Amino acid sequence: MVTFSRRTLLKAMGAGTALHFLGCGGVSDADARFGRSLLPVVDQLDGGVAISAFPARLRRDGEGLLWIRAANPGLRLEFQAASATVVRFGLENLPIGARLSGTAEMVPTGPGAAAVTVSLPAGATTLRLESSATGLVRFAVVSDIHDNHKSFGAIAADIRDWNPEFVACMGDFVQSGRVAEFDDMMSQLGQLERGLYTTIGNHELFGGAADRFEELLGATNHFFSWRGVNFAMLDTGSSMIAPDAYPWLEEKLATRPPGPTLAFTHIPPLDPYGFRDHAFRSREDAEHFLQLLGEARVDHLFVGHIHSYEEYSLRGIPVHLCGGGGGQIEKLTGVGHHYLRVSVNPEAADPIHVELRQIGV
Amino acid sequence: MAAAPVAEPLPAAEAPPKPAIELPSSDRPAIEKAAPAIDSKLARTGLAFLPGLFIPGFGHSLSGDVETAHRLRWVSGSALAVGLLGGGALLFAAGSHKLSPICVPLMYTGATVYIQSWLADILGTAAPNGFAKPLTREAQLSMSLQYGGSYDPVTPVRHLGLLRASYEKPVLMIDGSASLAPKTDYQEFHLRVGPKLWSDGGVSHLAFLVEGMRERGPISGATGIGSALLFELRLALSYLSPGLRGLVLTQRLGYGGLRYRYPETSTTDWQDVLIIDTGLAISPTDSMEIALLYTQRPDTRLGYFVDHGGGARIDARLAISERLRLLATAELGGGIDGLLGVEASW
Repeated sequence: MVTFSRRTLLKAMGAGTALHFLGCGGVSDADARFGRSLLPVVDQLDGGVAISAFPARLRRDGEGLLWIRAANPGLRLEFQAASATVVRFGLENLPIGARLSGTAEMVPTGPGAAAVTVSLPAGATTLRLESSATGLVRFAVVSDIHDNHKSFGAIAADIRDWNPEFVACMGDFVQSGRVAEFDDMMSQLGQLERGLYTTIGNHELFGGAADRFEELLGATNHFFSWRGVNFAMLDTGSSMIAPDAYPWLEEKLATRPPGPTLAFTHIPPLDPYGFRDHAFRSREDAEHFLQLLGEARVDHLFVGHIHSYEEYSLRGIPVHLCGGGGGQIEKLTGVGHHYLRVSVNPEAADPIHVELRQIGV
Repeated sequence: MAAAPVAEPLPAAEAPPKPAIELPSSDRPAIEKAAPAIDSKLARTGLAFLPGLFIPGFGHSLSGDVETAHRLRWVSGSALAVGLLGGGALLFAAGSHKLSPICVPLMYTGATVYIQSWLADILGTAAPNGFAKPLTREAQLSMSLQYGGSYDPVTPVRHLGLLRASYEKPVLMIDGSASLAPKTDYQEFHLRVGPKLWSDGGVSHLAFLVEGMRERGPISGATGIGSALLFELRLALSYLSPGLRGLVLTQRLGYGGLRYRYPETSTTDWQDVLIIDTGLAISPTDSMEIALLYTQRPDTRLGYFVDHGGGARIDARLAISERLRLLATAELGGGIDGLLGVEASW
């Protein structure tokens, strides 16, 4: 017998539409973005080879070469070839020191980008990104750039000097959410000269930038492991975790490889200052989220949205509020525009070191 | 022209004790009205809606009630100034947490009083002689019991029971509520106690209250215990103009905090809480009252609309006898609650 949940029935009855107009629409929007986050992208390479990439976005350059933008270093490429053949494609948005598994030949074409030639046998082949780096896992954390070229330019220059493997971001690249503004900001991100792995902010939801975000950057919810460190990038652009995302997150946390685990999201579950309350729109949702992270022993939570820097703890989890990538900075705190330098030694007893790096103060 | 009815003063024998603050009597004299600028009441009401949102008192001006329009302009202008002061300072300081405890209440109070003044202009234009006498009186004891459903995808709460009780005297009020959801751990208790700084013995008062609360989340089981200090103003708008009889404004503002303890660990979190409750009640008939309320406090179960803001509530009361009323409540935030029940008062 086919059964329907109450939620499915309410959706079918049009309650979702009514709720949207009454202000509860973020639930269905967040669920829809989460659903799209799970979809691989597919295309055809020369010789009729089918390629499926996840999590990634695809584009063709002027010469027809397929470029695969890694949404995170956990990129997985699956090929299906009718006969043994050689294929060419490009990879971009790679972490420093990344290489493709197997016998792929990679020729760097620019920062975080490479042209790839792979000999494929007949049948299915799966390739993943690997790292040639050793020692500490180092990455920068930046959020809330808000289309501020000057501030972001200074931050990007400082990040290049430090030379981390990649940059993690918690969204709000733009201020108004216009597509043109987002495209402009995307061109600015090239200054980082390495992979940028991000979730979406609430300002990307204001205009048409959300569609453009997914078109160019891909998933708004994703999970990856890199050199013994686990990263959960979680979409809270609608001031909530999508209800459909909870089982996925539970499964990802339960089956992750051993090692420190870090979660990144735009809106903090709870504001350190309740009088202001820039937080999830429901305290229950915030507690549910924190319970999940707490039970899974997530080591640190990185959040943005509030244009300041704070270190506080929620349910015993250290929280780094890092929202100073370029938006108007919170006054009277003594904190200027900033990003974080994070170094992780998965083998150490105290594996995570976070350094606040202020720019122009 | 017949004088508009005004709130009746209490007989001398029932007069309340002398309040701490003296406010002017609601027994205002009738206001002289000029001829309406537009004959159609429907058109005047429509124009009070728009562009009346941007021209305070526009509906009453068109109705010839220049004095009420003038008073509404004062209220709206003051509210706008307060709201802009709070919002402007907050914008300038980029949401600084050091200014938030002052600026956020100013911003919301200004914005909500402006909206209430606009609604009062629309309603007063639609009913130039005011509405019925407010149903909500300062009964000595009232109790209500409600039960209903909840739709909120982020919590397992599907059914909800709510018990409320209040005891009011002209110098004191006690107000409590208990909310439970069957088959979940959800519990929420609030108790407010405090003296009335001013009371007219009818619907209007200004009270200073201490609130204690205890909450348990339906998913995490986290238990929050806390307290808050708050001011509550309930004001019949007949104080502003006899033509606004039957409209009651409520403003509640408080500060407090809760300590949340998570059940399976020894970790605790502190959450400071700003309480903003504001609303406008209307009595269309002698036996009916509808109150529109806006609530903002971070510890609410139902949460907020998308992109912050608070939640909205509609309370409808229908008197079925002198002491008994049917009570319907719809609450909207991150989800929807719908409750039905009865209220009795003595």
